[in-house]
Amino acid sequence: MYAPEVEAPAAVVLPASGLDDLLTALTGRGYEVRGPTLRDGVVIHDRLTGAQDLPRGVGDEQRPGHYRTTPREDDALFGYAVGPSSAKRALFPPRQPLWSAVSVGDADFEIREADRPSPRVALFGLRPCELAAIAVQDRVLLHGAVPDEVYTANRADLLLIGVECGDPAATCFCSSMATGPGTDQGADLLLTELLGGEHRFLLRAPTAAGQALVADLDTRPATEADLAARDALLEDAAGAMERHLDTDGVHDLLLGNLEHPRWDDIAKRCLACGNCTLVCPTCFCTTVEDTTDLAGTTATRERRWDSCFSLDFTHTGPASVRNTTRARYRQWLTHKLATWIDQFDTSGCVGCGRCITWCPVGIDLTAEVATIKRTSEDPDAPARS
Amino acid sequence: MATPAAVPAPLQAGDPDTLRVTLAGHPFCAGLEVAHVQAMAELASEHTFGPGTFLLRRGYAARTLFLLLQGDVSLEIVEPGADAIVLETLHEGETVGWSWLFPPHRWSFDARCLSPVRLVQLDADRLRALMARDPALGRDLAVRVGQLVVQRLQLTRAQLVEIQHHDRP
Amino acid sequence: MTVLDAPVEVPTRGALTSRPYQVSSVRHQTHDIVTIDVAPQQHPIAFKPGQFDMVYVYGVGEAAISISSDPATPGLLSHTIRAVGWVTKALNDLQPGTTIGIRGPYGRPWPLEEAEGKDLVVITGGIGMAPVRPAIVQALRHRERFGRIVLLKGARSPRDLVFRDDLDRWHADRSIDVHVTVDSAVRGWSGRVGVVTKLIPRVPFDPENSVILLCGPEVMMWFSAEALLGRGVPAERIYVTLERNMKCGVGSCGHCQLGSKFLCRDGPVFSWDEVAALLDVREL
Repeated sequence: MYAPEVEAPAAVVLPASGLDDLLTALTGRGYEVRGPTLRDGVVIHDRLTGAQDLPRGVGDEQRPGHYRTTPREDDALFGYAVGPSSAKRALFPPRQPLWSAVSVGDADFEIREADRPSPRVALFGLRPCELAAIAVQDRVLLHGAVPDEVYTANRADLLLIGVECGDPAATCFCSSMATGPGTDQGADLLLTELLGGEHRFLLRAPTAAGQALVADLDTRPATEADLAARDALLEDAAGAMERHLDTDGVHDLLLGNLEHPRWDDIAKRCLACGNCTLVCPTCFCTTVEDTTDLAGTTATRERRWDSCFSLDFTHTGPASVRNTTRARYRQWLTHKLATWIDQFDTSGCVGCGRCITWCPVGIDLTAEVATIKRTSEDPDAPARS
Repeated sequence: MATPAAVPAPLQAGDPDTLRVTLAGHPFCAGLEVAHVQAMAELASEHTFGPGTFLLRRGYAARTLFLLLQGDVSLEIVEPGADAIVLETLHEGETVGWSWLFPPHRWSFDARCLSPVRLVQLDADRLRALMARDPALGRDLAVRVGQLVVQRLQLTRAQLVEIQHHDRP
Repeated sequence: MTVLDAPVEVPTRGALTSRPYQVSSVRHQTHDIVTIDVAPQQHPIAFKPGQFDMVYVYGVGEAAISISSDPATPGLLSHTIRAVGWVTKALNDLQPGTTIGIRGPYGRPWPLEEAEGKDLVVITGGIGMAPVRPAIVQALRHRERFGRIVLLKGARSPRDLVFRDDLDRWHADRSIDVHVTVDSAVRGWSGRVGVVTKLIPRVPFDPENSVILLCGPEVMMWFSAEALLGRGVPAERIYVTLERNMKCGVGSCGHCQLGSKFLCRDGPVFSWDEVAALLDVREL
């Protein structure tokens, strides 16, 4: 949460040239470091071997249904907003083998649990909205009634290094969701990239692990000017945010408007492709796939991401419950912004804007919610959750 | 097989007090004004029929209102060359038939006793005349029969849905 | 090191993993409904009435199936299945001796304790009998704890009636008041014809002091609930069991969501006041 009046303890400054030392320190501690890197014109999360793998001097241009990386005039290492990938990919992988049934004789089989390597991972360069998304997924997959065994294993020995946002995209609305552009929590180490004057990073370490890392680096204490530069950066970033989502009463608004004509209007545009659910850093729906080898002796079960936009998702008995795109979009949005709150005491949305950027027809949930709010026909309709 | 009652049996001169009490105790008459029950009792008679007796036959004039006191009756229809299809079974406390109230006053189905049946029957021609003379009673009975039709329609729809639900591929 | 508030314990592997069980017998209940028994010796599954298991057929897949056996005899575990999809069709074609995978039990059970000291009214349509059978068996084992026990059982036709042995036994027993009706019949069927809903207004039980267990197609449950409300049964004492696409069984895959509920975890048993408004919304 952006709260400039609260200062993190022991802020220090690392020159931009020292960032490689930080990555080296992580590798030296046995971490596999994953962070932003440019691949096929897109900033994604992948393995980093050093600071040279970061997208230097790269910016981006995001609009509904539009994403381009663009050259910047400076050497910024974090001069872009979030790309399509998120920490979800590392913590809750798109494909996860669960077990195999190996046939023994004609009518019998044995169950073998899948091997799951769990490397020590440091996620580097996560934005405040992504840290917030991890906190949301923690509530769902870690602190739910039955902790997810895959997520929990990946989450158990994980180091998080965040980077605050100075240059939000046009699709960002984290300030509405109170998740960014700055944050004081959610990571072991928090970086703020300061470009004016000396290219440097302000470092704050909320955890002991983060502080230990900082101790290994060649830093200097932060000055009043450094802290003021951060405040100004975050204030500008929050001010530059073009999109807003009015979260006040959104739970009852959506659940009281389940038959609003706007759902029909959205359904005319929505392709039910499921892109929004795949890029969403909190969507957690999965399905399982059973595949049998050619010899028919091993049947393997794999869990993979699923989407509430697929027709098959609600297949019950002989048919699907949510046959129309209208019902499927309504399910997604009402879950994300309303029933999620009932279930997990938090919104499912962190304001990262990925679903807007990566929607092939540019459906913008902030605009849809605003429209429903403006045209809510029956403000007293019962909220059904 | 007992005498078919599709042509209603002549009314018996029963004990009016007993009949009034019996009528008042039937769910169809629940809550009716005492005077109205008294007036209806004068058109009523109590009967028993053996299993297999037809209370109604399709196409016959509907001149009787049957109020079941005991036993089971099946409402049936026959497709030539096939077994009779049982649409519904009617039991103690239920009412058989409403065609007596609505033109053309002709039964649409067969009703057959499945067991020994005890019932009260009312002469429908006289009952309709009574309803015309006493608008309060007329309205009350018309609403009751209307409710009966609505309930039966709802149940039939539910039945239809269940049969279709089961038949989904 | 992590930024978690407290160290997490990584759950033991296997919450999502089936365990193999050998099928001891296959009992065909009707032309499309079968009861499959396993006799677990090493790993008995302790369950409560109304819970379900995820049942796996080698190389075909997995389906959520109601447990239909007696909770007091974990040495015999039965699942009753209607052939609808790939997995349930494969289950209907199983031979004794085949190994199937089972994981469970999952879900919120019927509130039998709440019914103690009250009349217990069970209303079922078709295969809806399967998830309530363990409740009836358990209630009869502790017969003295309940008032009247009433079963209103509907089926599409006489040939679709499941658990006929139980019906005969319970009829003879007289400790339970059994009423059977079918939606359609030809002559030869000596019982009632009509929807099960029709029985509700007339069957003897105390609407103000009873607990209702209701299981069947949603439309049937809606009509039944309306009839029960009409008779004065409070909505919070009418319990239904709902069906959606249950995949994981633990409320994490998202498939069986209805409003803010995950049916597999928060249900499948719900009181009518919890879900009635949700069931009115199409395609929710």
